[in-house]
Amino acid sequence: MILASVGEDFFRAILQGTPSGTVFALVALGFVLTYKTSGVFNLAFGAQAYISAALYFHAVNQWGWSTVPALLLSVFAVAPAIGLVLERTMFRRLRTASAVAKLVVAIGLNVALPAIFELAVRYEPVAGRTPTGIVPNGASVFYDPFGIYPFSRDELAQMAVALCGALLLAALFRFTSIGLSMRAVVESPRMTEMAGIRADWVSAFAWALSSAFAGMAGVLIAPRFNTLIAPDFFYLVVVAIAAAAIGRLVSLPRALAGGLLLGWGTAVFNTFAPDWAESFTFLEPLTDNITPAIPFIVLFGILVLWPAIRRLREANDPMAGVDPPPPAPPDYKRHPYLTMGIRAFTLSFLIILGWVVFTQADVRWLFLVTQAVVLSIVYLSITVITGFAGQISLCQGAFAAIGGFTVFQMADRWDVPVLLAAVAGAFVAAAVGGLLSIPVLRLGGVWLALATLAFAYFFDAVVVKFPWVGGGETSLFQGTRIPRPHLGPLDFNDDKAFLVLALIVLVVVSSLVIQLREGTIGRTLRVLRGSEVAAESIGISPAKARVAAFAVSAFIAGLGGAMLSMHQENVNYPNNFAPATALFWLVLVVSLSARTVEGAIQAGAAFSLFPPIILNGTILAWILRAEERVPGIFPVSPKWRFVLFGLAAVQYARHPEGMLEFSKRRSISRLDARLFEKYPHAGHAKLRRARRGEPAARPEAVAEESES
Amino acid sequence: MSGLLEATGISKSFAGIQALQDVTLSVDAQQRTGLIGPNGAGKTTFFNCLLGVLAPDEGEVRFKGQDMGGVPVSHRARAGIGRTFQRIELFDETSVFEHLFIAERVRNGSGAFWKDLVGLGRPKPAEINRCREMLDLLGLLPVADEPIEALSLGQGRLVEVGRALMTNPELLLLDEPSSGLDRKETAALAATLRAVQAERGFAILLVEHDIELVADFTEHTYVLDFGTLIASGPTSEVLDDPEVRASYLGTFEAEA
Amino acid sequence: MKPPDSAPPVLEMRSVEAAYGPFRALFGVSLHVGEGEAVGILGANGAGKTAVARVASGLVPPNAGAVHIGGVDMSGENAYKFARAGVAHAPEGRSVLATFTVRENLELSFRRALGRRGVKSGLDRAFDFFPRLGERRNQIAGTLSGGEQRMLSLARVLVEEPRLLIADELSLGLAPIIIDEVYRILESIRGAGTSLLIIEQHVTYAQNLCDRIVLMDHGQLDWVGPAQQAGDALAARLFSPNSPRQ
Repeated sequence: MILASVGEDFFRAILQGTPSGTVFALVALGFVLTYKTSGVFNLAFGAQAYISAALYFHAVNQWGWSTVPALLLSVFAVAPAIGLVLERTMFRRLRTASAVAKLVVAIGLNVALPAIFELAVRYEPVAGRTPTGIVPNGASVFYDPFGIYPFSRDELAQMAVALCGALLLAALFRFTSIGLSMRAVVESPRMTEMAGIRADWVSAFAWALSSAFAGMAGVLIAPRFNTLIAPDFFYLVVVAIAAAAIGRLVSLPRALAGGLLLGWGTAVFNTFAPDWAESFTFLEPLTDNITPAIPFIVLFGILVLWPAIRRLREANDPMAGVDPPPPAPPDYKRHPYLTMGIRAFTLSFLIILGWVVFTQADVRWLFLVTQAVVLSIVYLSITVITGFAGQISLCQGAFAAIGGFTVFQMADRWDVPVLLAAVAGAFVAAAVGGLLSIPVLRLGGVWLALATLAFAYFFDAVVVKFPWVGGGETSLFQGTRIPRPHLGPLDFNDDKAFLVLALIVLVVVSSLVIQLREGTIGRTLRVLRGSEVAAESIGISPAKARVAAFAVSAFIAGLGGAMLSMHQENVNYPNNFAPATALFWLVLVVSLSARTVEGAIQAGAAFSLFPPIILNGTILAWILRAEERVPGIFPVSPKWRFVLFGLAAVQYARHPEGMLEFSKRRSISRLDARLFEKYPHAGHAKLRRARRGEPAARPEAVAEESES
Repeated sequence: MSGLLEATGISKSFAGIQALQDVTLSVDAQQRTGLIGPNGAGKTTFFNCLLGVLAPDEGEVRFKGQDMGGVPVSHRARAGIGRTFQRIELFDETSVFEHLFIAERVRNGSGAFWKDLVGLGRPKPAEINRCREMLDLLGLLPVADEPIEALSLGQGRLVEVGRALMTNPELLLLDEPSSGLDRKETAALAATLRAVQAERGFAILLVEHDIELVADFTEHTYVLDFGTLIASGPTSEVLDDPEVRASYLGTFEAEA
Repeated sequence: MKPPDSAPPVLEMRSVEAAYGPFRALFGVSLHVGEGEAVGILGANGAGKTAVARVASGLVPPNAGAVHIGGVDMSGENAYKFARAGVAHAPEGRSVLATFTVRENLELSFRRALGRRGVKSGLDRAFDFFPRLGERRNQIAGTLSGGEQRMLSLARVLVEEPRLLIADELSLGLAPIIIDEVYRILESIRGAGTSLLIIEQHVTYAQNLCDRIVLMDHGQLDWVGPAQQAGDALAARLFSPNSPRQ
C-alpha cells in the first residue's frame, strides 16, 4: 500500500517536473549548440532568447501582428540577424582568443543586448503582464494523459520542440557536411580552411542557426514568466549550463537528458523532502530553500568534482602558431616630468571637485557622489581578483552582500557598533572567499567564472533566505535596516560626514590595494598572469597566491558592501547585490580599467554619476549655460549605460587592460613622445625596435618550428 | 661518488609509444653536461621528468641525494633546480628588473602578507643590489627598467637565465637555449653563460640539438635517440664516437 | 628531373617576405615547384622551412612578394582557396582535429576533395595505406599516439592526390618502416602527376625522392641544386672550417 503510494507520488513528481525540465533542456540545447559551433560560453544566450520573446510579444500586443508574421520576424529574421552581426563584428576576430576573453565578451553582450533591443523598439517590461505564447490558448487548454497531472498546450509544444530539436541537431552534426564543418571551425579554423572549407561562412551559418534556436527557445518559454525581463532569462541560462554540464557540454541528447533530470530531480525532491523534514525538523529551513538551488549545486559540484569536463575543450588548435598574438598594450613607461604633471593635474581636479561637492551639492547629489565613492570600494575588489590575479569572479555581489548582512545582523541582534560590524563583515566575507577559492582555484579560467556564478546564484537562492542572513520574514516588511554609524562625537547621520567617512575608507583601501600591487603578493599575481609555468620554475606555488587574492578581494567587497548598506541604511539585497547586478559591475570595471585603482574609482563614478550627469543632459546644460538649449534627445534613457559599457567590455579580448586604460596609455605615450622626443628614455625603446623591424622577446611564434 | 642530480632508469610512455626507455643520467656539482639527440628523441620528455612536469612511469630522480618523486615543480625549484624555456616564457607587462626581483623575493622568503599590508613589501636595497649584480653579470643593466616587450629574443633568453639564477640554483637546466638565435647570438649567449658559471659555480644540464654549442660548451655529454641513451662520456669522445656521428649524419640536425 | 618549361609552375614564390606578427620569418624567398616535380627543403630549426610551407598553402599571407599557384596570383587569398586550387598541406607535428574521430578527420577533407561518393573509397585507400588507422577509425584523434596522428595527417593529403602536396617534417615521429611506406606512396602519386614540396630532416630520404633540394638558413635560401649534390653541400656547411667549434 505504502509502496504503491510512494510509486504514484514518484510518478506524479516526474510528470510535474517534466515541463520545467523541458524548459531547462531547451535552453541547454541552445547553449550546447552555440558552444559546439562557436566555442563561446555564450552567457548572452539568455539575452538573445529574451529579445526574440519580447519582440514577439511586442509585435503581437503593441503592433497587433498575428502569430505567424510575429514569429517569422522574431525567430526567423531578427534572431539569426543578431547572430550574424555578432559573428561578423566580434566573434570572427576572436576565434583564437582565449576562452576567458570570449566569456567576458559574452558577459558584455549579455548586458548590452537587452538594453539595445529595449531602446530600439521602445519596449518596457510591465510587471505582471504575462507574455502570450505562440500556441493558441497555450496556457489555458490542458491535456491529462495519465490522469495524474495535466500538461498545458504550451508545455506540450515545448516538449515537442525540445525533442525534435535535439534529434534534428544531433542528426545535423552526425550526418551532414555542414555539421562536421561547424565542429571543425571551432577547433581549428585554419585546419578547416586547409580542407578547402570556407571557415567564415561556416561560422556565420553556425551563429545564425544557434541564434535562431535561442529565439525559438525564448518565444516558447516566455509564457512561463509573469513578467518578461532579461535577468530571468539569464537565470535560466545558468540553470541550463548545469543541465549542459551533465551532458559534458558537447552532447545534445545528453543536454536534453540533463535538463529533464534537473526538472525531475527538483520535483522529486519537492515531493519527498517535506516528509523527511517532518521526521527531522532541523532540516526544515534547508528543505524550504534548497529546491531552487539544486541546479547551482549540481553545476558547482560537476565543475569541482569532475575534472574530465574541464579537460574537454582544452585540446589546442594545432595551427594556433600561425596567427600572430594580439599586439601588446602601449608602453607604460613615461618621462618622470610627465608623470608629475599628470599627478598635479589630477590632484587639482580632485580638490576642485571636492570643493564643489562639499559646498554646492544638494541632498540628491551628495547621495550620488557618496554612492560613487562607496561603489569604488566594492570595485577595488574586482581590481584585485580580475585586474591583478586575472581571474573572472562573478560572485563579488555575494561577497559584498555578506558584508552588508553581517552589519545588519550584528547591529540588529546584538547592537554591535556598525563600524565594528562592518570590519567583522569584511572578515566574514574574506573567510567565505578564501574557503570558496580552495576548490575553485584549481579550475581556472572559464570554469572558475562559472563556478563563482553558480555560487552567486546559490547564495541568491538559498543563503539570503535564511533568517540569520537576510532576516527572514521580518525583513520582508521592515527591510534589512542598518543605522548610520556613530563614533564618539562624530555622527555620520549627516550626509557630508558620511561622505568624509566613505572617502577615508576609500583612501585606506586604495592605498592597501596599491601596497599589495607593489608588494610580494601583487608581483606574484602579476607574474602568474604572465606565465604560470615560468612562475613555478622559480618556486612560486600558484595556489597560495591566488587564495590570498580571493580572500583579499572578498574582504574588500565585504567592506564595500557594508559601507553601501550603511549609506542606504538598508542592505537592499535585490537592488544592490543580486547576481545580475554584480555582472554589470564586472562589465564596468573591465571596460574602464581593471588593473588600476583609478579604474575602480572611475567605474564607481560611472555607475552612479554617468546617468544623472551625462545622460540627463546636466553637463550639457551647464556647458550651454541654459537648460532650454539642451537638444530634445536629452534626457537620454539610463539604459544607454548598459549599451555603452556592455559594448566597451566586448573589447576585453583585444584590450584586457580596459578601453579607458588603453586610450589613456596611448594618448599619454603619444604626448610623451611629442614632449620628450629629444630626451629618449626607456619607454621609447620598443618604438625604436618596432621601427627597425627587429624581433621582440615576446612573440609566441618564435620557437614554433622547434620540437615542443 | 654520487652526483648532484641522479636520474636512474627513467622510462615514460604515452599511449603505447615508448618515449623514454631506461635512461640513466647524472650531473655532478659545477659540471657542464650536455644532452643531445635529434628531434623526437625524447629530450623534452626527459627534461619534464626531471622537473616534475611529468611523472616517469619507472625510475627515480634524486637531487642532492633526495628522492624527488611526487615533489611538485615549484618545490623542486626551491630545492635548487633552475630552468629556462625553449619557447621563451617571460612575464608580460613587467620590467626586466622585476623578473629578477620576484625570483629573489621567493628565494629569500621575506614576502609575508602582513608586510605587504604595511608597505614593507617593496624592494629593499639589499634585494635591489643582488638583482643589479646579476643584471650586470649578464650585461642587462642598461635595460634593467625596460618593459620586457622591448627586448630582443637574445636578451629575453638572458633574462630567463638571470631569473633562474636569482633562486641560487645548484643546477641550471637549459632547454634548447639556441633555438631562435643565430650563430652569433648563440656564441654570445654561450660566452655569457660560461662567465656567469665561472663566477657562481652551479652545474648546468644543457639540452640542445645544436651540436656546435654542445661541443663548445659542455664537458660531458649524453646522447639520446629514439628514447634510449646511445652514448655518454666526455664530450669530445662522444662526438667522435662513430655511432653518434652515424646517427647524426643520417639525419640533418646541426645548424647549417 | 625536368625543369619547368612552357607550362606555368604549380607553385611559384617570388621574393616572398613573411612574418608571424612582429617576428619576421622569411626574407625574399623565391622558389618554384614545376609540374610533376619534387622539391625538398632542408634546414635547421628556425630557418624558415615551415614558413615557406605555410605561405605556399595560404596559411600565412606574404608581406611582400607574390605566391602563384598554377600561374594564378594567389597572394593574400584565404587558405581555402589554395586548397580548392589543389594545394594539400600536411602541417608538422600532431596537426589533426583532436576531438574528431579518425574517420571524421578524413571525411572533413574528403567530402570536398573527392566528392560525396568518393568519401568511402577515399577512406578505404587511407586505411589501406595505414592499416593501423583503419583499426582505430572510430577512435578520437586526440587519443592517438604521436606517430598515428602523423599518419592521419599524411593520409589525408596522400589519398587526395592533390596538384601540389606539401608535407612539413614528413618523417618526424614515424617508425622507419612507415617512413619507407610513405615514401613509396609519395613516389607512386608523384607518378600520377602530383607535385611535391616536402620538408625533411633525413637527407638520404629527401635525396632519393626529390629532383631538387633547397637548403634554408635564417629565412633565406642558402643553396638550391640537384638532389645528388645536396649531401656534399650539406656536409660542407656542417663541418665547415670556420665553424666556431674548438
